[in-house]
Amino acid sequence: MKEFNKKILKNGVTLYLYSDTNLKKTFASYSVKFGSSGIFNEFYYKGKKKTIPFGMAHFLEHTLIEQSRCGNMLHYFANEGYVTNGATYDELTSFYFFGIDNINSSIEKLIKMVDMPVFDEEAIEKVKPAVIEELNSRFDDKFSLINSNNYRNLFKSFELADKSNNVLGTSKDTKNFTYDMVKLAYDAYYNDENKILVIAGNIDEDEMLKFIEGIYEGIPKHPNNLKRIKHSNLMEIRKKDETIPFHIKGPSLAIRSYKFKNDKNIDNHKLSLYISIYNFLKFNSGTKFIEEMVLNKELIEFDYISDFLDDNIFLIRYIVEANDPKKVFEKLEHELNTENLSREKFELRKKSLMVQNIIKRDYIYNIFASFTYKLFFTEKLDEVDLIKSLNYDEMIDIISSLKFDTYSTSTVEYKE
Amino acid sequence: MKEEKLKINGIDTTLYKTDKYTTLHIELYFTLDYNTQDFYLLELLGDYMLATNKKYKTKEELLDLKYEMYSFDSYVNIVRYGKNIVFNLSFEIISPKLVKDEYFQRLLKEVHTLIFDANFTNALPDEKVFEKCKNGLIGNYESTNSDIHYIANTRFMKNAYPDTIVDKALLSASEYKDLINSFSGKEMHDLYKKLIGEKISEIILFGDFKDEYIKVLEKNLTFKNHNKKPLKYEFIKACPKSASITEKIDNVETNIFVLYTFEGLTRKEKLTLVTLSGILNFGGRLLHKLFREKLALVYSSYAEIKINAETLSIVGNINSKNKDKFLEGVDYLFNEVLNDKRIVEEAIENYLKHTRVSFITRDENKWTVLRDLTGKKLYDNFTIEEVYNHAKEVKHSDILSLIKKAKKTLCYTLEGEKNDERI
Repeated sequence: MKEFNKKILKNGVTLYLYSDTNLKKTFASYSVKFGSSGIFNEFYYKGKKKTIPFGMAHFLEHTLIEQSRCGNMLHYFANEGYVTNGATYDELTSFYFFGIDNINSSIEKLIKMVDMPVFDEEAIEKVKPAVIEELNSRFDDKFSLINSNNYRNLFKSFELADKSNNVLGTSKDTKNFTYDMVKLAYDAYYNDENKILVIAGNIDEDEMLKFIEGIYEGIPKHPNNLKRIKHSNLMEIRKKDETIPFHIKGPSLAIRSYKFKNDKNIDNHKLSLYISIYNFLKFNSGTKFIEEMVLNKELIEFDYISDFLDDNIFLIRYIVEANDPKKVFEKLEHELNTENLSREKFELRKKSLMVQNIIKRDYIYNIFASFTYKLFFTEKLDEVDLIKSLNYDEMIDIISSLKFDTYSTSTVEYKE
Repeated sequence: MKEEKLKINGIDTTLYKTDKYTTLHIELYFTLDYNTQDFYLLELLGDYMLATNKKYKTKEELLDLKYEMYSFDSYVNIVRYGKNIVFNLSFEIISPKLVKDEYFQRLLKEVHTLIFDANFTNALPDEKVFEKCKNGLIGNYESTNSDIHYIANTRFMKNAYPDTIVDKALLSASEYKDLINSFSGKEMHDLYKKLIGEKISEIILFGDFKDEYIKVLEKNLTFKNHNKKPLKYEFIKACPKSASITEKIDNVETNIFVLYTFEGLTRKEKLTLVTLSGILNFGGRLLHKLFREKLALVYSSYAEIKINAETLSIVGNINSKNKDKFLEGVDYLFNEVLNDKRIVEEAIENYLKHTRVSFITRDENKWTVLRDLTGKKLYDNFTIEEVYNHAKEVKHSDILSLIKKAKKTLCYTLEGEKNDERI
């Protein structure tokens, strides 16, 4: 499978191009390294320390889309027959479309929507009602609440998530957003060096590059006056344990996140694969660990993910749905070792990951859509060679060196 | 893509031959008359068949097999279709041309085991696995029942179809738990025998199947009898007991459903109903423009249609204090917006662009193609092509004729009682 072609443009924007004229659609996304995580709330702008409230990245996403120079950009792209949306993730805000016709003019509109905003005070007020409805709906979402709470409690030295446990902030704060706040966030974070443009599909790469460069010639430069704040004491935990009451009856949901520092500077992509294989070998649905707990009605769902953050910090997170998640975590603690990890099953798992890498090409647009989000640890689309290079002994070595002693647990449980 | 009709051991089989994708798909369809008991027992049976068989007794062994066989996957999907149950057992396998030819022979032997050698001894299942499957299903059902949108939709459906099989099929978490726990191993065994013995009705193959693969399928899909009864196209009509129902929940969001019903729509009118849904949703975005932009009432609002039941629902997630405004907005939609020729024709134009793109690019996603083909084959659903062709012809007058037949049947509100000002 071929890879994206990467170019850093004169203005500092990072451009990724992928051409396949067998494809009928073209995918375009324009992203900014600014998301809902609290890691963005404090920063230096033009040498002065600034603070913005939670929810600002998401609010800005809505503002740029809904109050653009062409009206609501989603309507514009939808009118072209595109699949389109904007999304705010933890570390990224992304505006994208998939389409067939008028691609070049739409790419130009997409770039100008983001780079030449026209919002004013009146526009800010118009955006607020829908954003408030959206953030209110998050209070009915168990997983969203607990995820935010867990992130918040993992770090003492700064607020990774809001104390309301709502990743989008609160309606009270949103109602108080001013034009100056929104403009500040825009000016600081939407600088050219902080942007990533991805175009993939039925394109000619050379022509597209020329076209993109031409667009930026006509757009005012957005210099980088942002300095991110480096937090210290990143391994300190705010709270080891917290339970949040929830208003809808159902089983409890809990997340336990173990925090580590990648002192050995192992490549993040490789590390994430080793962690994923390790967790699979230990905790897949066929293991005795899981099956016994299901049999004893101690467990409903068990899942695991890894997260990679700035400053070489990574998390291994276990998500448990059960009537008593505490019991599950007690058992989990005894399993976090490298005992009973079969070399044969490691190789089988590797094989399956390679196969999945091949099968996913049957819908390549999914790969394009997730590309920017995965840039944190890889620019490669084809993982087959990396997977082939993984070896059992290295995995054992790495996992054995991990100390599962820095963690935080968040639980959501029903309370009448 | 080439479509071929054949028979595998006497069972109607359709082969959609294409070499475009990396996988082959084998889909087995079994049909039974609907009853709630069988529906949920089949769920349990499906889980059990995927958790153990006579050769691979544990989940771990089955997972090892899966990964050894290049991640081959098996799924069970069970749907109520009118007064029928359709039990679908599917297999996704990597194309042998990417691995080795004899892989297909070996894999089909394992598929045979999974289907025909379920883990029963003296007509009883493995007790431990049986118990695990029950607990798994009960736990998952409890979990699903704590999702507000699932709750809202379930309550709406129960109120729209009270005392019907729709209502009876939607169990509360405790009803479900009691039902699943009530099933005996013998009952499950008997249903398994009935299912495999006589209920297979259709086989669908999708992918790059060589002629020799068909012989391997013949050798391994050794069904003796099959169900020749066609699906019964009898669908339940909405029959709420009151035109306006409000229930309360300790929630922030209020979910509101406005149900419109139609009678005796022709096929063409049903296609127009699809167009109407399209212009309200992603194609024309009329609901977004009205409820979110003009009235500032929602983050999201959508239209949902059920073609066979001939219904259209307008759904909104709102603040409880905006309920009356939302309902006024729905009336305004039907009385004013949809009567405005300019607005509707512009929306149709945009919707047409969407359907054109869907049509042109449908083969770039194998699941889109597969669902399109199987939907048509089994359920006589409209294909992407039919929807697109109709969108090219539909006019504002067609929309007007359709909405004249719409009867507002139910306003259901699941009112959130949590005050967002506290938050």
